[in-house]
Amino acid sequence: MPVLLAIALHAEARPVIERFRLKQDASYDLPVFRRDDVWLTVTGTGSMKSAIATASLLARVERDEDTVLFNLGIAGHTQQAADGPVSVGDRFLAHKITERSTGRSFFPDLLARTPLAESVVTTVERPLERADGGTVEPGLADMEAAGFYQAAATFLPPHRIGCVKVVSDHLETRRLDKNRVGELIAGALDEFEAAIAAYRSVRDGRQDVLTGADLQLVEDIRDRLRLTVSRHRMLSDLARSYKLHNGSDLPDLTRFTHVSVKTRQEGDAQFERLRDILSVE
Amino acid sequence: MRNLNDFGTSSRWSNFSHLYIERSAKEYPLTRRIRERFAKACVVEIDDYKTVFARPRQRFQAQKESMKLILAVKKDRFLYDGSGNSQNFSFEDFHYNTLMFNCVYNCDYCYLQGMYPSANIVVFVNLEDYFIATREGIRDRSNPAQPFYLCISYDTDLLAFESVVPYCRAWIEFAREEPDLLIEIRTKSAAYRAIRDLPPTGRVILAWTLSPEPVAARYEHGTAPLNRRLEAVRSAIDDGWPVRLCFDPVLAVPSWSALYGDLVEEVVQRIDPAAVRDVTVGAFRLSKDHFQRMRRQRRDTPLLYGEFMQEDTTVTYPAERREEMTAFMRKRLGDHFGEERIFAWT
Repeated sequence: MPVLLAIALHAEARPVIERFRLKQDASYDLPVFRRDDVWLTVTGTGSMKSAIATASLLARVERDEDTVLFNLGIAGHTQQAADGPVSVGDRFLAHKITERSTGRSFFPDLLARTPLAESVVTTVERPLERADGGTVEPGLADMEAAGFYQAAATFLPPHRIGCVKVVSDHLETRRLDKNRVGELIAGALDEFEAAIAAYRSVRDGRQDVLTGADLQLVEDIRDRLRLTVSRHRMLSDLARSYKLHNGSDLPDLTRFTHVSVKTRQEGDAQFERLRDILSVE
Repeated sequence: MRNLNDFGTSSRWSNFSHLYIERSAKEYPLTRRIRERFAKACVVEIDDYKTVFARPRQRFQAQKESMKLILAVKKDRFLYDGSGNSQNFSFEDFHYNTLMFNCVYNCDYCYLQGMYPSANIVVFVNLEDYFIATREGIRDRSNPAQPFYLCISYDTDLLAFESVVPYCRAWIEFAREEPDLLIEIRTKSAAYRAIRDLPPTGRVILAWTLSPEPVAARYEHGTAPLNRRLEAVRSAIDDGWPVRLCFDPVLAVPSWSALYGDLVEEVVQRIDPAAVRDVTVGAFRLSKDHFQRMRRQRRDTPLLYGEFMQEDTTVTYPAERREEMTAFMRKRLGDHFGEERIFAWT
């Protein structure tokens, strides 16, 4: 059940690396840190770099259906400082990510309930200045979320993709000190962890009646009988039908993992025997 | 550091925690009503409902446990021709519309799982545009000797959602003004009370899908129990509404003949058959594409596994089984309702 993290800056990543006690894995071209099933890549700044690093990580890690992927970073907020409820250090989960350059918007699927407030995030090409704050939808402005999301959504369902932003400023374009960036991220980590856990608790749907062992057995039989893709699917469905209608485990089919077939006709004959055994009529 | 696996408890948003509202839908009265109804929901403004509804790789069953509401303006196609998998009741002008996408219920056999990429509910708020298209359809219908027959609860259960989206009420009032219109509102709910204050009209058929209680309890998640559906049926008949009873789909569950035979007996004990307008019967069937997509995501229900056959683009039970089921139901129902009021999909 991998947890994948894409973070733009080393300064943002450092508190996360420390919290999860990640170690750098030098076998990757990009900076990758990992421990157990937690993987973190430092993407660099900007939408394109975020997309590339995110896609690269997704392509390298062996994913399962419970994999979750998060982008975490700092962002400016369009609200004037001290002119509303949002303050530096506040953190938000994105419910809408707009790419300013194209006008396209993307929507993570919010099935998991997290402790984080939600916000729109607009991804801009360069830091947004206060004077331009009115040119984007009120909310957060960052430089990675849209690229990150588009790369992530190529691989993962939208409810397994999260984007968490910590307010670093109110569009004052002064350069932030690295330590200050680290402090902001560190202050958000409890909620961030809770958000990850909430995402991981959401199942993809109804569980397959076939267990991992059942599926392995079916694959072994497929290999022995040299079944086509279509026949393999039929065998899987016959096995499901058997379990669902009988409410019991599969019958002993291990003998089919020892047979060897030389011709297609022999394979067909074995398949028909399987069909008879698994028939529920 | 906390172990990420320690956050064990499931934490999901409840249904309709979020409202996605098209910019163009914001000012419609129904939008305002729904925003008031779900005042605590998080509102997300969108340009086009498809950017949320048609996202790739959504998980229908995962979303079913936290459905979102999408409010949109339908731009075209306010009427569709009736599907070949549905009875047309001998009406030449048989149409349906899609006032909503998806349904609050979650039946194991529901084709919506195979039809839509998302389980989120889309409500089209521009009702007046549907009325305009329907008036045109009535005017241009091919057989003026027959009414324009329109199913408004076709890919959804409109009455089940009446407390949120009062469309059944609006269409009943619309039908009163259109003498050549005949509407069917089909439901598995017991929400008749939501429209009970309206005087009945012969231009609206209230149709209830009925299943044996063990089938409803196991496979029709969220729907009203049979008992409450029958109470609603009886109330509607007592109030003077034309009522249709739908034994559709009939499912090949174990002991199906005993279950459906008992169902018919229970129905005729509680409902006067003479007071029912007509009855429909149909064995379980789906379009091939929907069936295949459903099977990919539903590997947990016996209803989608077993003996099926494909006829053209329809997947259904093998002919012998299907004919046996249909004949059984026709016989049992025919004893009480008479053959002439039974419409069967065969």
